[in-house]
Amino acid sequence: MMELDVQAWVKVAAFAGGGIAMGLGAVGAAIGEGYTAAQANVAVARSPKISGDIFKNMLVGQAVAESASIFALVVAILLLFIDKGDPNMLKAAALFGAGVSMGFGAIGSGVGSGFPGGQACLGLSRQPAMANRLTTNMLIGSAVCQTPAIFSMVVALMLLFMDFSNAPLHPTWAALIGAGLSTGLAAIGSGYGGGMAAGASCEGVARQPEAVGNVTTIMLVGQAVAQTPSIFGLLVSFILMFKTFPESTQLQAAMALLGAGLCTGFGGIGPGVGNGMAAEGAVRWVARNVKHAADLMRIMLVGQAVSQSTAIYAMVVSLVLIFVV
Amino acid sequence: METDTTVLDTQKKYGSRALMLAIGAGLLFLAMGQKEICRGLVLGGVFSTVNFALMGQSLRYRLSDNRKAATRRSLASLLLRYVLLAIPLVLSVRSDRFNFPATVVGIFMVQLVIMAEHGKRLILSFGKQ
Repeated sequence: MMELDVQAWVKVAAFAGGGIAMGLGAVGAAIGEGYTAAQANVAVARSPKISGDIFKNMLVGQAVAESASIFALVVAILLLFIDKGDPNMLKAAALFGAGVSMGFGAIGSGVGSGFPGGQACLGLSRQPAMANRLTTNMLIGSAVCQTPAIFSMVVALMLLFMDFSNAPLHPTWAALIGAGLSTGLAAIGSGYGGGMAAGASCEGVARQPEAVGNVTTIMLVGQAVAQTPSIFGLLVSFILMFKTFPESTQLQAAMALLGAGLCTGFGGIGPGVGNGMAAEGAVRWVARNVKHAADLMRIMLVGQAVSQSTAIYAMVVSLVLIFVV
Repeated sequence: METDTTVLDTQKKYGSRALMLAIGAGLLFLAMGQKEICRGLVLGGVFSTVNFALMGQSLRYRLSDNRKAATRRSLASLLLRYVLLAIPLVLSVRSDRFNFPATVVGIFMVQLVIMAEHGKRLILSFGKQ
């Protein structure tokens, strides 16, 4: 009877996780693709003669922006149909954590990768001669935006396939759900912020084609720094998955681990978006004033470092919750 | 009309390349005796191409004058394409005849081809500079 209950719990967790993964995973990509299409409309209205090129660019941009939701689809299908193996309550927690990680993790990347697509369509209406350069720039920016969603998928797959059966149920169940929350939530800000920088870069290339080298470089540096909060999320997830916790049936021990995941997860959203804003500003103005590219990059990096500090506070509190409390 | 031709050309270009890559890589694995990987890659590649074709072909219906109809058609197109992409994944999870990771790589074949083409173009432009 008890075994049947555990089996049912594992299925419940897998189905709920699958629903969360695909349900939330579809949100970001749909918004991102919608943004690209909206900007394509503006571009076509502005330059109807090159509507074919604009639609082509929109189609290619949307195909890449869709990747985050396809990652979510893969994880959701695995959660629904994979052989769950030997059923135990830790497996249930791991499967639910996998769904949460992928679902939340795909939101930011989906929305973010729509920005370069939209700005590239708009840019095309301004500078049709720069079509190839704009598409390449859009694709690089869009691809980098997918990184936080890839981190989330890595955590989801680890939770799906790693064997946790030797760990004590209490408080490891909370650590596994916390691991999913940490990377999943932190990826939201990084994906969105990276998209802001990539969008500004496409706008900049269209505005000042000669500045393409500086614009692309600052975009990549800005995006790389904007990914840091999701790397903190990934780090906390790894600690939560790989550390062996002593058995404790006290609820506060479990809540400390769940809180650690939530802390870095939520704590990473703002800095990811903030870093993206700093990068967006620098990239946009480099295109207008390329002579001061070095100054703009310096100010961007200082601004991003300050904005990053709140993510570091969140990670410190998470580490205290894991190792001290 | 011009829009339709450009979109169709783009689809033909990337779709045929994605299929060729999937079949080519599949044949390579077949030659190494990895039948499941070959089947997974080709299955994923075919559905990736069909998804991309549907994405472009539904554009003209999605851009209708009537906003409500356009919204309905966009949602239906999205749903149809996700269901379509789920088919090879479910098949490969359920059947031992298909390798799951290879199927996943296969459903990203169009994206891989797009990225590879533009990556190559970028590298060549750096080379010229």
